[in-house]
Amino acid sequence: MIERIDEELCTGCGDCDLACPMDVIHMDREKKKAEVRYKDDCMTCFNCELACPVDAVFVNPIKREKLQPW
Amino acid sequence: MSDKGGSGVEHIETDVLIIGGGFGGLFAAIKAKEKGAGDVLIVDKGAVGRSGKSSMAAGATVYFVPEMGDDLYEWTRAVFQGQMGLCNQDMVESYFLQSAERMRDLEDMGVEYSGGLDGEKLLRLPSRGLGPCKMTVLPSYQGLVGGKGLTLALRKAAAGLGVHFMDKVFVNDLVVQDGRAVGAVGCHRRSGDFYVFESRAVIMAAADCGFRGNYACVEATTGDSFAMAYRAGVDLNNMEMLCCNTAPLRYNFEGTGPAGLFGAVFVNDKGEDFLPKYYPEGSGAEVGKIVQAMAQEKKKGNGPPFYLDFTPISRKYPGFNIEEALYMNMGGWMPVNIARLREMGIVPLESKVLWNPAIQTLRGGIMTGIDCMSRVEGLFACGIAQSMGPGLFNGWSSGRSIWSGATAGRSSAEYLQGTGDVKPHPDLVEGLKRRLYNRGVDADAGDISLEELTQALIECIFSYDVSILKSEDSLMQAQRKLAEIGEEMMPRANIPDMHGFIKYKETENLLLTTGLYLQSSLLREETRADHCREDFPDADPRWLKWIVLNQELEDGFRLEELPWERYRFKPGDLEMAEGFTQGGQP
Repeated sequence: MIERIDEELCTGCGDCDLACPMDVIHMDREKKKAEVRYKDDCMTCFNCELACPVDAVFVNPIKREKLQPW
Repeated sequence: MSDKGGSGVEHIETDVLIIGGGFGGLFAAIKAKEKGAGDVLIVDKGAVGRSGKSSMAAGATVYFVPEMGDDLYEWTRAVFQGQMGLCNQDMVESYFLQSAERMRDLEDMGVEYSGGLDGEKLLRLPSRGLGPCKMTVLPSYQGLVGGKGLTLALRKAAAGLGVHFMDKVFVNDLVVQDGRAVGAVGCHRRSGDFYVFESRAVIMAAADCGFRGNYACVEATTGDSFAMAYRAGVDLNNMEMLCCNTAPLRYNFEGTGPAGLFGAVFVNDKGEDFLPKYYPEGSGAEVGKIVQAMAQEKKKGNGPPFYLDFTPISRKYPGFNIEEALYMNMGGWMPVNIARLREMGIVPLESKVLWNPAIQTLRGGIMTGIDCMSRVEGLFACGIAQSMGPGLFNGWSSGRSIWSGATAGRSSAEYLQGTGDVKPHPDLVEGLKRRLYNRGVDADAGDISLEELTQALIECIFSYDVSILKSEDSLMQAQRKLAEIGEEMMPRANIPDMHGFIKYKETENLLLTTGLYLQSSLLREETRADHCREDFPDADPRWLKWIVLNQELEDGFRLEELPWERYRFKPGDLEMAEGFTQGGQP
């Protein structure tokens, strides 16, 4: 799941916010940077990392633990 | 609605409203515009062309190319067989016959195909489960391979034609007045502001339902189209056709099929290569067969855990690097996923990995004619929102979404030529607004978290005997659990903010969709295609018909004959495998 957005690198373009299907990433209006606001909802799709033009987003491929009724 | 988040109201008028901005919605917008539809608006709960399943697709697409010797008769028969007769044959033929045009459309937008469209060099692979049908692979646009490239190309083309986009607006209900679709209502997922869309035609293009399960990248698909359509009195069918795939437990992975064909082997808790007991093709079997065998093994106490063992690949094909050859070229998220796992010392393609069945997609949806108009005037459906038969075939979802999107767009423009404006009645809109804001945002109210609700839902639908090997008892038990969630847990949900509010609305849609799945699964007393009833293990010719769900019907459903008179293949043409019993009996 998403691990971090590098504040130094982030240009505040908002592409990761738009790319996130789960509403995990929001823009911090004061800092004008992207921030991970709902990390637990990340589904590890890498969409944010792939959308970031400056490689500021890092997604860990290990997903959060999910219930497996199997 | 100060207690719900925002307090604003936005009124938006447009000629065509498209809900959902993936392959279907974008193609619909482009074709509607090209046909002179006037104002066209795509609204998306994420972002148009950027955040949905299309943007994450590998881009493999079943395309019919007569110049390469493709035979319409054989291709349609393959789908008819693959869907075990429950096939919209006229739509399938229309899709195949329009393939060349759609590929040219994409090429005109700048999309490139491996080998090029002209001549004999177009790179195609067989579509698993569809006999002679072949799919193009690895389409690219400006260096982006797969769905990311396709959605970018489509978004640019749509924007160039003047299509309007609206992101992060969650549509909760259609406005259907006097039997005609005249708009929709929803809210901004961040501000909570209420949105009223007034439109002369509506195209549903928001896809699918993954039930928040463990398959890669399906958690945002929450049955919104199905639930909205059902609440509006639209006919849905094939709602019992749920497709499970398989997935690792700890990370995402896509492309299990090719791995099985190259020698990867599913093993059970006892270390046994169990699939050859059920099917001669073993782990190379179609995915539906694999999950049914896993369910049988579960019943016998042979798992979970189950594993997918990739290590036989290197023994079978020494020197062949499957990771480089297949997965690092896929485009999208898989290469970065594989590379990142490798950095952490995890190399799935050289390991034995914990691996389970996982719900991927629900094949039901809105019933339409060949023009993609539903039986509610002015309401069109495309993409996975539209029902086009059961079955999980490679390259099928992208291809049929492109066909139905283009068709719905064209049809909506034609429809507009003979229709005037209808204003939604304020009382109707007010009622839908109350339904949308049936719960307020309040961090201090409610003692059940949204995560607990999700877990309860997963437990309900994803028992092996509810999603794969169904029976009357297990389905009825699931109905009772579902009622408990809806009646006892939902009113106690804690909704701390707008993010939680949208999750709550999605959960409502998930619960309704689950109910429709269970209802339809109970009704179909046979085993056919994706639907496997342990208590009715054989396909029954009397059930070669559609179960149509509609809340306005007295019993909530009706059975409908397929229009065999206009179909090329008849019930008698269906070839059943000898001794057909899904799940097999070793």
